[in-house]
Amino acid sequence: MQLRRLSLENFRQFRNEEIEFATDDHANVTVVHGSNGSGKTTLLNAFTWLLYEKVDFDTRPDRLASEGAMAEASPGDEVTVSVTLEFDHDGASYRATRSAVYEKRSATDFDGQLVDDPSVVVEYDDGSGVTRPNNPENVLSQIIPERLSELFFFDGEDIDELAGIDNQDQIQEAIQNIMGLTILERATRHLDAVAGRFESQVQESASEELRELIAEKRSVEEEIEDFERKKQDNERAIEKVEEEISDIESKLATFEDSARLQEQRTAYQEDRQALEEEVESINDEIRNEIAENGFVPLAMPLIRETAADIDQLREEGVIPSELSDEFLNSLLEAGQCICGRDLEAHSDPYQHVASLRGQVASDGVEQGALRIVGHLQQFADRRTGFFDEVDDLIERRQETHEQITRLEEKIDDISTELQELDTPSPDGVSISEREAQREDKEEQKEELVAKRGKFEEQIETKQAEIDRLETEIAAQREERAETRLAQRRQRAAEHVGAQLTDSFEQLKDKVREWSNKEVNETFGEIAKKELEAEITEDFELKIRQQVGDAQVEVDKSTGERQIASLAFVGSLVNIARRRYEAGSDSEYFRGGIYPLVMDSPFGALDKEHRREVSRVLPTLASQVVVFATDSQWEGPVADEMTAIAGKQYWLDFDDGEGSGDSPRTHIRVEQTSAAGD
Amino acid sequence: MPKINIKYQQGELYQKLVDEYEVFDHYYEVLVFLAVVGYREDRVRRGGLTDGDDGKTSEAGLQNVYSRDLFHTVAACLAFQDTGDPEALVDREEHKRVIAEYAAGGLEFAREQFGQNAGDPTDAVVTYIKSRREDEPDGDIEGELKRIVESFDDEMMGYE
Amino acid sequence: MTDSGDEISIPDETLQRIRERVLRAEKEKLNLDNPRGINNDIQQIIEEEID
Repeated sequence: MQLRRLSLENFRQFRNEEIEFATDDHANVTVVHGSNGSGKTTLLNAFTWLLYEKVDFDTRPDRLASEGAMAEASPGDEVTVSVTLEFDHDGASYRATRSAVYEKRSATDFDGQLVDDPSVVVEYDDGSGVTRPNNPENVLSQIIPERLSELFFFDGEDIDELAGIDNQDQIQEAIQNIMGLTILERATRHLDAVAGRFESQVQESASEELRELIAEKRSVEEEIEDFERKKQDNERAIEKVEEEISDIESKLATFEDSARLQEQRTAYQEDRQALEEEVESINDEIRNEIAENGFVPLAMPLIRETAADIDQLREEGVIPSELSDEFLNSLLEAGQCICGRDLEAHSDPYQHVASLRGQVASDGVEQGALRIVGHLQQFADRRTGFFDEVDDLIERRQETHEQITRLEEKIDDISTELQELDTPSPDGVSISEREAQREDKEEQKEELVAKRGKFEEQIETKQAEIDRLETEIAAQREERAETRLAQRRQRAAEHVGAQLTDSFEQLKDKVREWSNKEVNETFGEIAKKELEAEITEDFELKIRQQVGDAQVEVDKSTGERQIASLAFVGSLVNIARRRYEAGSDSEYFRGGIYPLVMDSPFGALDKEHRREVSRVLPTLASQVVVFATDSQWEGPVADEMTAIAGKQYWLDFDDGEGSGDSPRTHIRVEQTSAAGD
Repeated sequence: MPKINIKYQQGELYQKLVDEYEVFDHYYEVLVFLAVVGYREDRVRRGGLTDGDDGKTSEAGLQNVYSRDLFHTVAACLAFQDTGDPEALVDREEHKRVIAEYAAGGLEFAREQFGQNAGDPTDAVVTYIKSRREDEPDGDIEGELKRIVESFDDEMMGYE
Repeated sequence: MTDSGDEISIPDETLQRIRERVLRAEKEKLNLDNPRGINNDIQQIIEEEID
């Protein structure tokens, strides 16, 4: 089905408007944008109203007539509402029109009264002249069945549900639908029901023995159903407990993280304490140094000058040059030379000093002078010593301070981390209590799992009983022909059902594989990350990312879900198209070419994802029609779309307040940069 | 020796340096230190007592000062420099006087240097002492002292 | 061709025919949401084929 033109007459706010669709291979996108309320949803409704006489929930079928047309009409006048779709399909060009007639009942009637049921007319020309089939509804539903309509005409904002959790059923259904596997699925179900009917017939005419066997079989079947239900409940309960366990575990992890961090912090604090004590001890050493030798550097000029002065005096002869005995004795006793050097008893210098006694006139002054001179070296040494020592101490203290600073940073970091941890609410539950909770839950889970095992066992046992009964039943050689006939028919239904079930399962999986491949190709075009999409054997749509060696399932963001869902729908459309082009004529579905008409596929997405969706859209189907709001229609979306749009329209909504008219929307053509008209 | 006491002005700084922050262990150590500061900064207060209300008058034993050789030497040098008289080298009364007077002068200076701020004055003291290091090139002192020492030694010993 | 034997087993061609007819019937009613009467149709097919 390839869309050509949609024309609207008096259909809600569209008085007399039309859209020509882009049909070029390389510019296959038709874009319609407008502000909220300008009529995008109405356009979508126009499609479904035409094809199936269906409109969405918010649109009232009895109020389709354009208000403006009604306003202009006089009471008693009739207003025709119609939607016409021109399209190509299967080598023929079609023109389908649905119309409804509304009568204006009074001057103030702006809704109109529906005169007849809306009717649809279809004409097609396959080259041999125009044909007007007398079952137009049927024709249309063959071309694009209603059950598929939700896949092809959809609200983009709903589509992300396909890739959500728990939507395997929807995915399966979509695949089945488009592949005509629905036939198989239904056939197996119906055959099962019919087999049941035949079994009842058998029962009615059967011997008592057979009747009893059948009755027994039925009752066992009921028991199995009962166990299946219980097993399902049990499964749900297990899931719930697993969730609770997971929740507790993450709380515990937080707790443990918290404890570990606190331990670490305490250790750092202790280290800091020790370092601070170290600093204090260094300070004490500095003070010591000050007390002992602090005055020395300050006294140097005093001492030096005095020594020089004394030297001068001595040269002038003011100070006698000799040593006094007393002084010498005191030196000897102290074991020191005047220069401060130690004298060892009985050493030569010692002897020498000792020998000087008796030769020097006693005078206290030179003692004083000698003292000064004698201590000069000490002063010098202690001065140097003071600076060396103090410098060293100060350096050490500095280093220790730096260590302390580093520790304090670490301590601060931990404190911040602790704050950011999602600490458990102050319910005062300790680690051991949580652990106890967890063990409790684990026990619960084990019990439930054990129960599940029991259910499974019981189901197996019952199943075996059924097998046994069926064998017995089959072995019954019934007397009455009726019974035998009914038995054979039942068997026929069951056999055919089994065959179809097999085929069904196989085909389902095959389509799943195809769909998988297609979805991945679309996904692969999203260069942003190495994401892969997969439709699993259970028909779940999962998105994965390569992380190191492993494939990790990604928590899908809305953007990714949307893209995945679109990719999935696109994959089905593509598969259908391939089937069709391959000329398949099996009794199953032959495939077909479908357009995609979607309303607001950009809704919940961020800019980057919008850009990606824009890029992906043209690949989804051979013809894509997109509606977007003006606010979505900016920046990256507009850029991308304008480049690929074959046709571009703007919904110019006039609320009529200025002119006192009814609201109406004009569909305005816009220039695109892609292939021209 | 009879007990001779040095009467001096014990300003608050003394308590700070000895009692509070234990930079020095004894008051007389502060006394001598301040005397050296006083000489170095050319601050002296004749009479040995500051005016104003700073602290109390106290006494320190001269013997304590003499107990440390280098303190004794400092006292002698101070006395000599202050009087210009070699006799002062061994005059106890002079030693008493100059210590008290220079310490009083040094106290005023020291108060400005490291007595102002609350808290531990240790670093301020160190900074101050280090700041006076630049005044003297290292090598010279060694050389000059050495020369004097050597000349004294030999001459005194009669080798010359 | 109808099968009027007393045999319990059913020939393959019969099963095949039933299968084809059932599928065709389903196909015809495929486009309805609720294929009314399909069970009756199927029952009838089988009754016709197995007589």
